[in-house]
Amino acid sequence: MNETPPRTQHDYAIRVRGLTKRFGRQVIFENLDLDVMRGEILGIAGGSGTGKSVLLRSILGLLTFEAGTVEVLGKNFQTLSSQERIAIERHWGVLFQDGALFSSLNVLQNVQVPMREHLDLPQKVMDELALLKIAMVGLPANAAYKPPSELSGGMRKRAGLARALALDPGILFLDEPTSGLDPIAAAAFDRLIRNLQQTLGFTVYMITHDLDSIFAVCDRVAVLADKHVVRVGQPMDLVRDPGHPWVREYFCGERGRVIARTS
Amino acid sequence: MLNHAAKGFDQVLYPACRATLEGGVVRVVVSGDWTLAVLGKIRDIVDDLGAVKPGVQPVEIDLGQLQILDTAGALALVSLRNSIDGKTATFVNERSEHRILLDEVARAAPATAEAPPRRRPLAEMAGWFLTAATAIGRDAIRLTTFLGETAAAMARVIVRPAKFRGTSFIHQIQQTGLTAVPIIALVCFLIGGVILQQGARQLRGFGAESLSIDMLGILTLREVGIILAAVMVAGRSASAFTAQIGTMKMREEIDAMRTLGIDPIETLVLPRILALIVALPLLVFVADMMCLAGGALMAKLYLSLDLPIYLQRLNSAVQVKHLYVGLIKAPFAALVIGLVGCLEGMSVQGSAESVGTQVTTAVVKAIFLVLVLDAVFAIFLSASGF
Repeated sequence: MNETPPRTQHDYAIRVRGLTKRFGRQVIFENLDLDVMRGEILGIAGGSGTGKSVLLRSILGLLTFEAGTVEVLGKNFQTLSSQERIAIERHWGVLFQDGALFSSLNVLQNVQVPMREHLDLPQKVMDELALLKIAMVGLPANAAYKPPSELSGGMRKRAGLARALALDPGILFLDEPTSGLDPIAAAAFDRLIRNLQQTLGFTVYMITHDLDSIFAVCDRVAVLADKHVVRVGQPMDLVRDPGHPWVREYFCGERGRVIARTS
Repeated sequence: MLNHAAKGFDQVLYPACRATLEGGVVRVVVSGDWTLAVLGKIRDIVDDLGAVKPGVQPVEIDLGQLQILDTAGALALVSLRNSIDGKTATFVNERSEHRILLDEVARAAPATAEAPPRRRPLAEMAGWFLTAATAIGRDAIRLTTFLGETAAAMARVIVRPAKFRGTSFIHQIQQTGLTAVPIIALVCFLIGGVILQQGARQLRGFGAESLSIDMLGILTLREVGIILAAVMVAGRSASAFTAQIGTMKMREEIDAMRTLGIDPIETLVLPRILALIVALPLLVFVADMMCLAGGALMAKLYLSLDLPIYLQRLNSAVQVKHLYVGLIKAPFAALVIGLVGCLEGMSVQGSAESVGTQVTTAVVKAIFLVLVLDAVFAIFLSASGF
């Protein structure tokens, strides 16, 4: 039972082809293509309302779309049986914007939810593993027994990350992981994601607005605009050659220049 | 004893462990995948290996043949190393990506020793009793304080009538009064019929069937109409008030109003409570009439009494004071329902879950208080001869 697929460098973790998504008469994406390589950290940038969250939800199967295919870890999600779907879902972890922790459970129990659902482990082992994850995301051990309502925003994000990492996922989806954090906490969270990614070797799909995050963490950035992915590339390449008005404004504005110089 | 191998798991991808003694060094060769998916087997292997006690020789854990490693496997390896001996046991031949993970897990692992906070069942139970026992007192204080705040807001509005939110007031009368008419009318019609039919059946033994009309008339006007209407309104409107105000509280709209110099009590609470005070007496009157109408139908069907006879009988049985006794309670019940609904809405904390809890609390408290109020009024009014 070899669950984890072999990791070769130039393999696709996610492949989106010809994605078209409409809400009523409003077209969000038209024929959108996107590749995420295994083991990379891909940032998704774009203005408000360009469909960053819609794209994430389409990939996760939370939204249906009109046309196109989404392949995750080499499997086309739409043609899978529900059994195979669950097998794929075991291989990804999702961190929602505010952590989306279950409010009736404490942090430790939240981290154990995926283990309980997908694996048959003794309680002692689950406790050990969950406490390990909680320590790895940098939460103090006494936070494990607190309900989510007693945590600060940054701690909730860390706890949500611990839950997303519970099953050692192959792909980690992050929805604006640093939004709502102060700059120091945001930088710490960026470092945490970078470290965990190097340690555990997963692929990261990260929606972000934060230029600091993009330069500190991302291997590549994909920019959404005009119903397409208009640019994909390393952050520094996008600074040198924006190629699209929004990208120019975003990366080559005052802030972008400062950050690009210092990083 | 040192050739103690993990039996049966020597295929490449299964986790395996083999211990040998080579030139004074105990070498534990680890191979296969060490992942969460095969954690059961890993634990068996480690348990088996637990029989190996190294004594004075150093132990080398050889990770050269290790294939895939995740945090669960790394934790097992780190605790295996620590269980043999944290100092003399070392990992050798590990790949660089495994090295990073093992270091990270070893760094985080001590935290796993942290025990959950001790629970003290007796103290918890005592605390729970204390909270429950003082809850009534705290609720009474909160409600009285809120009544005071509302009265103060009322006084401000009387002094400056321009502050009164007329549109909101009319809208709330429609929401709490008009839209409640169908359900209250239907329920009261049915209950009126049932009371008459049951009364006639019991009184038949005394040959006093027609007294059931007297009973229905007095019971309806004094108690049943107001209780049914008030309980229905408590269920519909107290919950609606809590949900509306609670949602605004949750989204910080109430705070926003305060910062804009708008008093939430004047704007949100007062129109709702006043609307209810106007609407509930009207609803009680509708309830009374529908109960009597239900009785009229049942009198025709069950006692074969035509409408004029029914009305004549009713006319001689009830006095107008019975109607007043019922109606006088309505504004007070309305005040209680409105206060509880708005207060629970104001007590909502940050989460959506809190709105749900407060709505439930509001309905339960409003119905409870309405019934208590009715009982107090019944005692008071009977004693004073009404």
